[in-house]
Amino acid sequence: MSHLHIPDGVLPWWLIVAGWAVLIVWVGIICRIYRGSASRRVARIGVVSAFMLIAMSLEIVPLAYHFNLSIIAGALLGCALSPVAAVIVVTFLALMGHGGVTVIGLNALVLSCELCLGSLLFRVLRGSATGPGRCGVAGTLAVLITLPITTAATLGLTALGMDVGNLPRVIVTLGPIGWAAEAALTGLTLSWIARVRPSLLDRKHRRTGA
Amino acid sequence: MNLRDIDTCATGGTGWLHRTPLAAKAGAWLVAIALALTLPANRTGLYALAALILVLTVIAITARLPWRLYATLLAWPLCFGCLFAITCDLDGAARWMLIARAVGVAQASLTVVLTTPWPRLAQVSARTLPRLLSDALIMSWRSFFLLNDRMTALLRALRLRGGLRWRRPLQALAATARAFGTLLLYAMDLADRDWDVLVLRGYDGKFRVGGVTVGVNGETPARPQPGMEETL
Repeated sequence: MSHLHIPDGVLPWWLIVAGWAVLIVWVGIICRIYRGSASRRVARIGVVSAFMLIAMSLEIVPLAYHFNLSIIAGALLGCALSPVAAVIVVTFLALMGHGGVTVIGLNALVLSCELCLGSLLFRVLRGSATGPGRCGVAGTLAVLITLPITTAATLGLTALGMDVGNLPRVIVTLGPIGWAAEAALTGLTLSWIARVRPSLLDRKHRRTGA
Repeated sequence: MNLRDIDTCATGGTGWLHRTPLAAKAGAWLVAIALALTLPANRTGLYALAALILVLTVIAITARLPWRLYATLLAWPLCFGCLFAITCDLDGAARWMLIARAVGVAQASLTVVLTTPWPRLAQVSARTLPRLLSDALIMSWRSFFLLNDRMTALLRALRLRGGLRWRRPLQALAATARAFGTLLLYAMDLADRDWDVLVLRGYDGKFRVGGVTVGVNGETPARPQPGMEETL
């Protein structure tokens, strides 16, 4: 529910163009920063994007909700590289008819914000502790805070272009079930990673890639 | 996620559209999208859009695209189109137009994706996108299949051992979390291993895609990098 897969033809042109413009600038700056420093980051972004796509194949059918595990991806990549992964994931989804092609910009922006906000919240809530319990709780809370915010952002964007009618009511009714499942899965997964290989969640590990 | 089926169809298909040059398909794709999005939201526009959808359907049939996969992939834009159309305050023609636009544009994209092997699309992306993004895009395509195989095996093992019983949702959730954790560890090791292999094979920041070495802004570097094609 974080990204609503806004289809083509729903939003006005100015909003679509604005979404593309912001995304191009954001990702352009990131690519500029990391230009000439080919490193393990390329491979890491690739596998984390693929991991998110795998997670998205796990669906709660009656709700039309699929898991994202975006907070885990954000925690692994950090804020700096998350938008690149978001663009990759949204592009793949759009080419498969899962969200509009023209709104890749907006959908990727929302997903980027989700990854960045989730990553920041996870880091803040976890603090300096590396224990599995703390990591699990921090991950769960990060999801429970991030997903409603990004869903509201998606609805807000949609409302800028059209009368959303009952859409917020539908999402507020169904969304929390998906958010809760996502939060539980994220918390348990992060807790498991913290127990088995805590170094993966270290900031230092993200930077060096070693 | 039907990426594997999409890849099989794109690389193994024998229809006329598979043999059509990518430039022609890309041009037709752009025209179809422009048409779908610019038609007016009235009865005339709706009929024109219905005609476009019909044409795209005929193309899909004559190009021998697997109808089940095609229909499954179209179900998502149809569902989301319906969700927006039903919940938002729209009049009759605008409501149908919204659904038809979502389906029409998705049909156009799927027609290209289902008839063009990914390396060909990656070749275009490598020429136009920044290096970090295009290389990561190529890596994610390859990683997806490796991780997907791993996840399928993990879930099968869990099912066989009784870890995924939907009557016990908490146990199933914990088992799924462990499967994802295991997959993630495998993924990070895979990333490190892939990087080492790329460096050993001479990767210096430019992938060789579809027989053409592509670097930043599409320039061709002097030194070839053998084995890059195999990475794909």
